[in-house]
Amino acid sequence: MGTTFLTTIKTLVRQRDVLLWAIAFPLVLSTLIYAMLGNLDEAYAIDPVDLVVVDDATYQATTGLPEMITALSVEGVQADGTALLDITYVDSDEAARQTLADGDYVGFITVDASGEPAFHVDARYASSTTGTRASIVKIVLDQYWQTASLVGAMGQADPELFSDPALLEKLATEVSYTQRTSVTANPVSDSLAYMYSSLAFSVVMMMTFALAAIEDIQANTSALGARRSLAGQSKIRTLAPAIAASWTVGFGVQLIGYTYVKFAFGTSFGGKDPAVLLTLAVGVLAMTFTGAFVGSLPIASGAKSGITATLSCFLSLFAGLYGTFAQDLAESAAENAPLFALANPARQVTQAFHALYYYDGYQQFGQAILALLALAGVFFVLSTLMLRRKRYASL
Amino acid sequence: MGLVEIHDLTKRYKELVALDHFNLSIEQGEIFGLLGPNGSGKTTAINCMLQLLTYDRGTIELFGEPMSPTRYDLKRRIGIVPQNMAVFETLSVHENIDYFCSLYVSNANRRKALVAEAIDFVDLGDYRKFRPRKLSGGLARRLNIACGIAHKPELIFFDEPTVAVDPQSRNAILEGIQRLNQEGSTVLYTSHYMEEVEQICTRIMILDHGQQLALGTNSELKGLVDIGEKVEIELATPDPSVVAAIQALQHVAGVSLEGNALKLTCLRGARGVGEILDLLHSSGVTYGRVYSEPPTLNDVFLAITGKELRD
Repeated sequence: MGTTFLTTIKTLVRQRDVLLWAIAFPLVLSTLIYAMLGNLDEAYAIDPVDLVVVDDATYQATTGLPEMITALSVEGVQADGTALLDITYVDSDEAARQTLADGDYVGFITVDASGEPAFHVDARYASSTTGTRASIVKIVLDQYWQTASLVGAMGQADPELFSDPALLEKLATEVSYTQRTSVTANPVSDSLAYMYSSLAFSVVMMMTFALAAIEDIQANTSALGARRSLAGQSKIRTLAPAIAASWTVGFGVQLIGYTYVKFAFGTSFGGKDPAVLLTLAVGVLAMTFTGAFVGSLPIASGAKSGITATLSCFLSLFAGLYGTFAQDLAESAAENAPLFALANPARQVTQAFHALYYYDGYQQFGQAILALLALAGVFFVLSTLMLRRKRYASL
Repeated sequence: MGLVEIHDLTKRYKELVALDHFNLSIEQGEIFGLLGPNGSGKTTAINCMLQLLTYDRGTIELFGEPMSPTRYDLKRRIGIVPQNMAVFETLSVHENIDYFCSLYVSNANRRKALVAEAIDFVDLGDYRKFRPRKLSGGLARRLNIACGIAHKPELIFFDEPTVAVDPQSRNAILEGIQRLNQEGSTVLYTSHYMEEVEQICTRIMILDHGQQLALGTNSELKGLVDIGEKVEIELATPDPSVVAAIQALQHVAGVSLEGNALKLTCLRGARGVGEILDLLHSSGVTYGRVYSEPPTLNDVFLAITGKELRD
């Protein structure tokens, strides 16, 4: 059995077209995803806005503004906070204009004699497409002006209100009534979801190896299969090492893909790497037995290759691996035909990855892994029943 | 009791009867030839014997014991050289032989020696790292043989091993089979090449449409037809008038004129080509070369079935 195992590995690894395709597929797919979506996380991140402030006597005399600007800037932000502004201070309007001309700033802030701040936007950041960074400054100043006006109005209406320390504290700190919190223990990465999808996709492709290995065993598909069937060994002694070798090569290919995604792109799986590897291992096992089942069908060899390709696409479609439309379709199928969804190994692989992505606990993940193991068992029994046949009516 | 005993074996492919109450007995130490045209049932007989094909009726015993699909102990004593190349295209010569040997011999050290011996036997030492597609047709056939005989089987089935092989390789293969037989292996050799069967087989069965037509040694089979010799005479000028005169000779079974070639068949007996040449001489017919050959198995097949073996 050991020789059959090693021989099957050699034959699979030396089928260059199959192997290269199997290896290249996840690498190319993940590279494309990285190229297209790698900066997705950065797109949502905030870089401090480069801003010039005219730090003259009127600015310093404006109540609260210098403190707020400093608190939001790189110099004043807390260690665990996000700096919104990167301030360059100048002492006059002319100096501010000159600084804008010499460097890349969204604009400058001045305070007039009445104490009203003004934001002068650089022309380069005034358009609708480039104005996001300028709008951050505008929001900051609006927030300040809104609060300052509120305080001024309150002072005019009832100066006694300011004798309440609690109210003063509230006015000084509360700038928003909503708060952003994370529901997961690990930070969610938008590109990671796509990397998981690429891994799931490549796991589905691993049917190919088992199909190739099984076809070389069957007497009614090739002269080689017939020759092996005539030998002095039971079918299981040929079948078991061939299946084991198919899984080994498939999992090896997945390890290459995982290593590439993790180290070439610096993808973090949020400390769930062992679970990711377990998903790859069990997923490849389920797809290996699915491929073995297709390989055991009593039909022409070429038809089996076609069925494998079609089945890969079909299962992936109903696993939601083809984008938003497919995800909607997969969810609809799962609601209306839960048994079909349960019996779809591609969906279970996807579900396992989704569970790792969305949930801190492992309950949903465990359910998907158990479903994959059950599917592997079912396809093992089916393919063994088909392949246990020792005699044929014709060859 | 023979090494192979088949009684009343019948195999049908739907309406087609591939083996029709087929009987076969092969003694230990024989090179038994199964001769028949393509589709006569030779390969079907082998696949039934090895339990790869189901059959409708009959009994098969190998080594004195009933054969069944799970008699792996019996299968391990058998070597198979199939008609089609049945090797891994992605493995080298050495790896292929080692793999097929491993199906019968699990001990790695013993296998190492057997594989080396098999490579020497088929003279593929210079090609041990070659993959099959790099080998010529003849060398590839030798690899196919090495894969079947490496485990030193007691009984070897050679199913048309020389198809599409050049004459030099064919001779090497036939000599190899004779050597295996001398070393103790019993051989079942199937072919539709009568010359090969005549050359190496101790007994021959002629098979057609799944039925045994004749069985015996080479000379016994030729004794079944009343042919002494076949003669071909090159005439200087074709003369149809001599055909009737020659046909009238008592020991001539048949005569025809094909271009300048006068072809005739003589019945067995003391008289032969000399009387015919005398007739040509007296008739003033000038002739050149004269060819004479004894009857072949093809003549036997022709006499029994009315058609050529290669039809």
